[in-house]
Amino acid sequence: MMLRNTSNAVYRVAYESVSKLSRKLNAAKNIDELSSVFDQYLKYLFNFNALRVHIVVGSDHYYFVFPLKDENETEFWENEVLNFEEGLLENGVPICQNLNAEQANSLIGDDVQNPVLWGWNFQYEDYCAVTSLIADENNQFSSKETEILGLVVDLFTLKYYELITKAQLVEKNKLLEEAVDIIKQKNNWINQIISDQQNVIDERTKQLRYQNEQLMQLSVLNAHQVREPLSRVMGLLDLISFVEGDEFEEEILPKMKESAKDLDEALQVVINKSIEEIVNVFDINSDKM
Amino acid sequence: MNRGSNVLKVLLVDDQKITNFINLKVFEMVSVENQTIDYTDPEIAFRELDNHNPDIIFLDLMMPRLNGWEFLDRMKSQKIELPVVILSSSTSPEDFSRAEQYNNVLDYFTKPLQRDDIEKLLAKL
Repeated sequence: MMLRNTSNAVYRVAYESVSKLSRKLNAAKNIDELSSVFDQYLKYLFNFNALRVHIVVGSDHYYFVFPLKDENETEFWENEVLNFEEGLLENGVPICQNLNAEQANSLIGDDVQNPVLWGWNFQYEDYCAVTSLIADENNQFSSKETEILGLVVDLFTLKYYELITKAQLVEKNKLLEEAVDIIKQKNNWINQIISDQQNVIDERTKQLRYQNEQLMQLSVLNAHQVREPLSRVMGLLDLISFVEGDEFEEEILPKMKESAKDLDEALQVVINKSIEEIVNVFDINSDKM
Repeated sequence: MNRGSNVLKVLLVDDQKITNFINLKVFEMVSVENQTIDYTDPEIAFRELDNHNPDIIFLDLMMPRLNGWEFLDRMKSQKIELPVVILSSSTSPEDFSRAEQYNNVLDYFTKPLQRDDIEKLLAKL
């Protein structure tokens, strides 16, 4: 009875610590906060000298070693794949091995008594967490605590994955916004070109309309002003065979002379106007070149 | 066309004296007996329409102060429905089709006026 009660009490403490850790981890806003919370609460859950969480997402590797700031000159704190981790990555078989003095020294330093190296490869949908732990006589870790360790590594790495995904999303959004900005700029540029072209077309249309008007005026001049005196000359010629005596000399001829003079003047007007127009068209076109 | 007497009353409206001279001569040669009066000022011609009550008006287009189109518009607005023949030196298709818009315009002749043109026209009346 007594034993069971003690055991229940231990589990209750562990449960409360895990749920508190879970809440704190969830509230973390960035990776520094996340690491610091994890570092702070781990020691209440199980004993260890050092815990290393090596997260692999695709080809990217991220390393966390707790305690965060101690002993960071030995191998265990290196930001690279360690020898035993390679085995864990390859076959996923958990490790539990005693370290000799030399191994212990290079891995964690000489401040440990009969250290044991534990190792696991926890697999998740989008990443894996190669987790290793060094515990010695003074900070003993037992296989029964593997479950709780697995649980806290779950909590830590899931939150970590969420944070880096969110950061990547923010980065992608930023790139997307930049791309949208570039597209907007290009659009403005294209609109400017279209508007410029429209202006050129408008200007050219205006010129063509003006030239058409001038040509129309010329054709009206031809139809009315030039044909008018000419028609008189023709009409007078038609009359010649019907007039008698002095009538031709006195009536027809002076009128023919006057009409011929009017015709000449009308032609001069048309010729000058045509030349003026040709010069205008030439000027407009040479402006465009 | 209803004529009071057998004499055809013609009104010539053209600002060019020489043209009117030619046209009067041509009308002297046509077979139909006619009384032809000419005006070089279209404003006066318009005012005299009531007095003369012509059977037919020969109207030039390009005239100062009151051109042929304005003359026709004024007739329309005053509901004067006398028959008109356009007699113009213009050979422009635009002028031909514009003339067709007036109900009282019987024909469009290009100058110079020919005796045959008048004979054909009178045969139709």
